[in-house]
Amino acid sequence: MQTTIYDASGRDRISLAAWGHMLREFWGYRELTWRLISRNFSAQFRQSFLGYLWVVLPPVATAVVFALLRQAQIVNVPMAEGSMPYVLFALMGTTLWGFFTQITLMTTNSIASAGNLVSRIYFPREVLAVSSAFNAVINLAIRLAVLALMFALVRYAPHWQVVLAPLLLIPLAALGVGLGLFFAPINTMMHDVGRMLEFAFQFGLFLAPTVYPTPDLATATGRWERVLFWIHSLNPVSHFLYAVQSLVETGVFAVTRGLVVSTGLSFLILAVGWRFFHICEPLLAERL
Amino acid sequence: MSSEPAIRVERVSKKFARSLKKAMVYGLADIARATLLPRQFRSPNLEARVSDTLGATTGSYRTRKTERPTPSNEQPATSNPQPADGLRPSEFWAVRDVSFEVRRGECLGLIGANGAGKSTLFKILSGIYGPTDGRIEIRGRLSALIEVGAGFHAMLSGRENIYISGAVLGMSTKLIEEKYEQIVEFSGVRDFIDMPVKFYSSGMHVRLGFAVLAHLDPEIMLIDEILAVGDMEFQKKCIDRINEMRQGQMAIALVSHSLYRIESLCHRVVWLDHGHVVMIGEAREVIRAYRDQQIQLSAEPDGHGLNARKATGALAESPFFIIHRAEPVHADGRVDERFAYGEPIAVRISFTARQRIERPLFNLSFMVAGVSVLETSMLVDGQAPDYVEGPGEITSRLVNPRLLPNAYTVELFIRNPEGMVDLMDMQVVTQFTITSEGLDQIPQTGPYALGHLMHGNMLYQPYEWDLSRIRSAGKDA
Repeated sequence: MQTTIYDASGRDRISLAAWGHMLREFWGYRELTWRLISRNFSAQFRQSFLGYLWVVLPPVATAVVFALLRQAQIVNVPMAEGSMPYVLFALMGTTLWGFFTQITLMTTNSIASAGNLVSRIYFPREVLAVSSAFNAVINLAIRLAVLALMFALVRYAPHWQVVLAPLLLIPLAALGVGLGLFFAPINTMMHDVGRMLEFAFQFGLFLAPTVYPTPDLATATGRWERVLFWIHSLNPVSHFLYAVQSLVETGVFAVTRGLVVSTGLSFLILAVGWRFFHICEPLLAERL
Repeated sequence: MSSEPAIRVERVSKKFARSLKKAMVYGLADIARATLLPRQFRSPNLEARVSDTLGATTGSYRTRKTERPTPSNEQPATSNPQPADGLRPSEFWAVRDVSFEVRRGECLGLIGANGAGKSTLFKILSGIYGPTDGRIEIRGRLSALIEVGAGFHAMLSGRENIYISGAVLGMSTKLIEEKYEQIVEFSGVRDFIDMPVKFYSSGMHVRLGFAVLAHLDPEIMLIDEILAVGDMEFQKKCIDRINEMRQGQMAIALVSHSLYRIESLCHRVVWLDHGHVVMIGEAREVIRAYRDQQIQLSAEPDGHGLNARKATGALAESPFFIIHRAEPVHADGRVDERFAYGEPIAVRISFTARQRIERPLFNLSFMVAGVSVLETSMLVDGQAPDYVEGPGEITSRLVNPRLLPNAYTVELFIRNPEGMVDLMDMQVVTQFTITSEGLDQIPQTGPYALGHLMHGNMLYQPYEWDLSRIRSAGKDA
């Protein structure tokens, strides 16, 4: 017979045994996780004509607008020799950046927006976070289909090695979920966090290699180009974008130091974020 | 086996903040505390926790096995001291130092006014809130019937929502598939099962939600006032279902404002008031004490301005009479507003007649919540003083009264000998309560005895049944 104990001292911060518990609990609630994913997915656009078009519209619109600005020579984005057409570059950048921001934001807001589910019923709250995150993955899948369509329209064939790209998306997702799990409890109490992140991500789009490539440090002419280079390089998301771009353009799985560090960091953030979330879990319902 | 408690609550307390902004700050502080401080220093109730560093903490995880010792916490459990009042500004105790147990096969009732902490306690038991202090042990699979239609999504059909709600409440897909037909049948919304729930009436919504709840099969169940839904037929279905569950080895804790329901379903009752336990014990006793207190409370507010009028020296006045005092008097001459059931009650009225009045007719009405239960009336019995003039006193005595426990007010009017003219308008002159003391004179072996005697009825009339002729109608006569 299972025995459950609740007391005032809360949950362990360090003990390793808790990991086993967390994993078991998460596994035990996989059916519920799946239910919530399919619930969110199928309910998302029931009362809407355009439906899933709303998922693909934002990155496509951003990419098309930037391609237009560049074509009209209002913005000047130098593309290196042998790189993919700019419109594909921009669409891929915004799609992947959009995936990262969406998975982070959806995880962050998962608890605060769950309402009665959290304040009336007990189940591990990770279920909510993960099912929200998974809906971002579904959105990504839809967007990637549109991206593939765009590649076909522009008649640009990526190297076949691009099929390895999902491997790079795993640590990217881990990073987003990790950050989301870390911010979710704080956001539950203080709704500023979600808004702040949303704000940061909007501007982050322009400070990451999404709609323009990272300036080359070797040929950098001005001080500000170097600053931009470092901003890009210190952002772990950039390294996943570089790696995917390299797969598309050259077919090389470029294991750079940046990628290794970013991957390690992503999984570390996931672990820390999850543990933090787990420790905070009993405090959430009452402050919702 | 059956003596092993399924739920053990030990000195549990829970505090909340009244202000939203403060709650936000405290929430963040609690997060910081949970992540930065070692466990024994970590309770939000810090002062108490520091003085209790070696206190009983034996692993706070939702563990699935009975024996899973948590390292670093192997000290023997010591009894917690009374938690200190570690309230931060704008905080209050929603539950304070509550202890009780629920055994297998037992049904425990929780009663108390709104805001007494019943629902909060349930949320702590089901793991939604962590306790601020104290310890809770749950042995067995627990389901909390707190929310009807948990996880329902308005856009989705009833069918889809059954699966979602079931999953949220901890049913496996296989189990839901097995019970799907029964659930739909129970809910009685089969015709609308493929319609989005947003187009359901609120009644249909609730019925579908409860139908899912009713098909859970836990070992421990918490039921929070959700039975007060739906039409009569549906309510009966719900009660039948609970009775069915009650037959087994299930431990049930039940919150209800209906004392009838508590009395008929529960073996023992906990009475909470402002987060504190007022009384725990055998259902009948606790309900009785609770009802007594409620009667007391309903009598206290001075809605009739009695005290104010008493202070001016005249309770009531007319061109013919001044009423100075009206007092409930016991058989031994004591003036006291509390009477036991069955105790003789007298109301003594002191007045001054402003002129000589021939044969005035006095009429006293004994009222409960604006309804006259009985009257002692000279208009009926035709008795009257020959005349009154100047100060006087008149007493009306209820012989062998059978007024049931309640708060009574007494209204007085006086008429002329023909009964046509008011010599004094109807006025509330005094009040008294009848308590449950002495109620034992009435045989109470039925399932709803106290509910009816202390809630439903105003008078008790001794009666008997003639059951002697039932057999003759039987088939094997």
